[in-house]
Amino acid sequence: MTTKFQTAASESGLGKSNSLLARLGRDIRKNYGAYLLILPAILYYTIFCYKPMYGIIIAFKDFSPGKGIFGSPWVGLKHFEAFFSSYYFWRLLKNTLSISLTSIVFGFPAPIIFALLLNEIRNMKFKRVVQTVTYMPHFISLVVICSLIKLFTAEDGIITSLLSVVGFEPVTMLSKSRYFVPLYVISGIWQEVGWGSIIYLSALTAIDPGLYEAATIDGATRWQQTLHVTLPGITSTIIIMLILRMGSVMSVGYEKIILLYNEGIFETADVISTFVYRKGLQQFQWSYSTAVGLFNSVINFAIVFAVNQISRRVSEVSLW
Amino acid sequence: MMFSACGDTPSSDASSTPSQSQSNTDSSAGSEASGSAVVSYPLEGNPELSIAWETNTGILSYMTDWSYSDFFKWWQEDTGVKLTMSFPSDYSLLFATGDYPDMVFYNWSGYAGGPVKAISDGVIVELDEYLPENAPDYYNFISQDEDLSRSLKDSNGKYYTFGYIRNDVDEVTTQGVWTKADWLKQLGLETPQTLDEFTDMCYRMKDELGVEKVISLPSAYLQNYFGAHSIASAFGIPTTNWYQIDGKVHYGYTEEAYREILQYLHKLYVDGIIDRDFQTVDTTIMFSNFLSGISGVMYGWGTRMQSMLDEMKGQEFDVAAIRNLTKNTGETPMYNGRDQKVNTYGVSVTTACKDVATACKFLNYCYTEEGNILANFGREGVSFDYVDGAPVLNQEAIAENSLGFYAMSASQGAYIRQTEIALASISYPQIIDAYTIWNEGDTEDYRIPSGAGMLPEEIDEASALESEISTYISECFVKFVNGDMDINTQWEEYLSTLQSMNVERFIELKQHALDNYNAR
Repeated sequence: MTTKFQTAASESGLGKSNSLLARLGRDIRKNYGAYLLILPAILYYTIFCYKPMYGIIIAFKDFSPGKGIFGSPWVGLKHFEAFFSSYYFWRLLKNTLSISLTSIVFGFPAPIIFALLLNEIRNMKFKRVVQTVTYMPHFISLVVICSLIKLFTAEDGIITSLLSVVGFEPVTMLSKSRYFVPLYVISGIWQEVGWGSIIYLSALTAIDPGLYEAATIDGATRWQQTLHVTLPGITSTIIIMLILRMGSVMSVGYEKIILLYNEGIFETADVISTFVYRKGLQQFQWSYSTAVGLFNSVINFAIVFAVNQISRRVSEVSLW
Repeated sequence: MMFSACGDTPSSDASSTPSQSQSNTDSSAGSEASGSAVVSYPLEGNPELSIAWETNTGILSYMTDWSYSDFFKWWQEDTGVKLTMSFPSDYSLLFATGDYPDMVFYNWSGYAGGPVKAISDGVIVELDEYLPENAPDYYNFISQDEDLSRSLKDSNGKYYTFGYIRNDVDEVTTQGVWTKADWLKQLGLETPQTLDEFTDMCYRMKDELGVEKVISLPSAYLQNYFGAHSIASAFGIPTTNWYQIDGKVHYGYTEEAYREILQYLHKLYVDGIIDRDFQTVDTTIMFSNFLSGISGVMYGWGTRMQSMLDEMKGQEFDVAAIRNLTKNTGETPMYNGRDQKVNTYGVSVTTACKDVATACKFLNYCYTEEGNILANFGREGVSFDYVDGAPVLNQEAIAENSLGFYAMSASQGAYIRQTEIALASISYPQIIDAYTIWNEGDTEDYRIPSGAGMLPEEIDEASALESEISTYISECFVKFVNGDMDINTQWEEYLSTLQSMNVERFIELKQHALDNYNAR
């Protein structure tokens, strides 16, 4: 290894260019397999994430399709001002944050707990059945999921009927703004808990069984083993997942909300992304909706950055 | 397969295109009154054009691509133009990309800011300078009628489209409320004419027939159709939306009568007449509820009535149209769902078109005498035959709603629709009755024409106001009906919020638009 490296270094010392590009070129020749593997990811981000970014400038312009992105006149922060002074601004911000934070607070621990529970199951057959059953909702189309939710929570739906036995008022849940967030979050957990637990289950298998043996010998109960062996074993996975999850605090998926909401519950259900959808795609206000979307992304970025910093200080685990 | 352009012209083999001299005679005959320009078909030089057309969902269940339909083949054959068709699923994306076909069929009031904005955004072109020379038949037809030409212009006073013109609108109205005739019979009721009779009918359906949800309409239908004009006359306003009296613009949503309408709807909701699930009801649920006897009141179009009757053939199921309700017997409703002779549907030429003149010539064809027959009826011997000199659709075209294969007249388009087409493919007398019953109404006294677009310089302001105000209004509509907002205590709050959103300025802008239209 060392000799090979030295040869390469001494070769390059002999009049060969040592610029970044040249070194990269040599590296690519040497490790082309690895570069080939990463190529699709690079292409993906270039084509779908970086290239469209130049379109963001229409947030500062009055975009009209005939004049194109560059030809449209600059208007400065006009669209941002319009959004901040909009009647709906605070409501959108509040709804976006409340739906998202509730999803994180309840939705994030759910797959972890679920994975821990699965880990304790000793009957392999039963465990596999449970896993399969809980993965399934993940593969059902969102449109179908939302139709099911609507059906089950209607005035005479199965969930409403069951709840009314324990004293819940029998109303169409999606017609009352106070039920929207719980419905959204709980159905989300139901759909994703199984799928989300996979990564934690795989992290669990990486824990050295010797640790459990040692704990047992020391007289630790199952609960103590979970607390002191299992959880610390998957902490780094949890933190990475949490940072990633925090990055999407502001990007509440609009698809599910659009499929579920109606004018009557805009008060709790209308979020920034659905607002952008209505403005941009239904009312053709491209520049305005881009400005709103950009605002959303900037906040998202700030949150990821902050969480990453905190995590680095507190637990020494971080994305960068 | 026999083909002839007009009743008295000799037939020729359909495989050959119509002879040039023949079409010459026809188009000049059609425009002999004015204008000297004549366009002869087929056009020279095999021009190629592209066009984006609205998807006809009815047809798509029969073929994957509407462009395969005989109509579009014949249209190309007759004009000598090779057409490339596309069916965009999302027009806002089409407009945003800047990559347009030569022509686009669209409802131009759907373009935010209206046709005038579509022109200033550089999507479509003004047609004024092209029409007289290149589309004489169209131009002569629309310029002979002041109202017609006015409604086909944008708010700058320029022609922007080849419009969809209906001659039959005074005679039929194709949308409205209907109920079940068999239930009316069971209850021993006449079709309701007044609001009280209607209310009585609803309660008796619930109490005596045990109908679960008498009115099961989506909230958009409840707000924009049923609440907007079906019952509004009984409360003394034509519609809860925009209307005008002697040139003065009114916005029903801000008026006292609207409050009474909300009170009425809220009562129906509380009493379980209006579906408790109305917020989550969509059109599919609405139809299935009506068909399966869960609900008893429908709002919709005659075509839907037809498909319901088809589906329920042989079962105990009959429909009865209800006119817009009034307060007292014998009154005429102030408003109804009558279409306008011209709306904002039409084919416009985009800025991407290199040869606007040829596009105009191509589009002009459907306004010539020959082309008009094609657009309305299709081809003789295939989809229609001449009976006593007048074209009559044959069974082939009427069966299974297959008119869309043969003619443009199955839906909107860029042509002059002939009166008989509206009724031609109807096989049930109930629907013909419905068209007459729904047609009662003094709509023209109150309507703000769809051609009255916002002034170019006020479009941005108006659309900003509109999106905020209309969202708020629909939200409050739902809440007032379901009781989340209390109509007695929160009506003032509703009004003052609208004030703070500057609804007065919005009404003022609409007034400018109407004044501008009237002055055109």
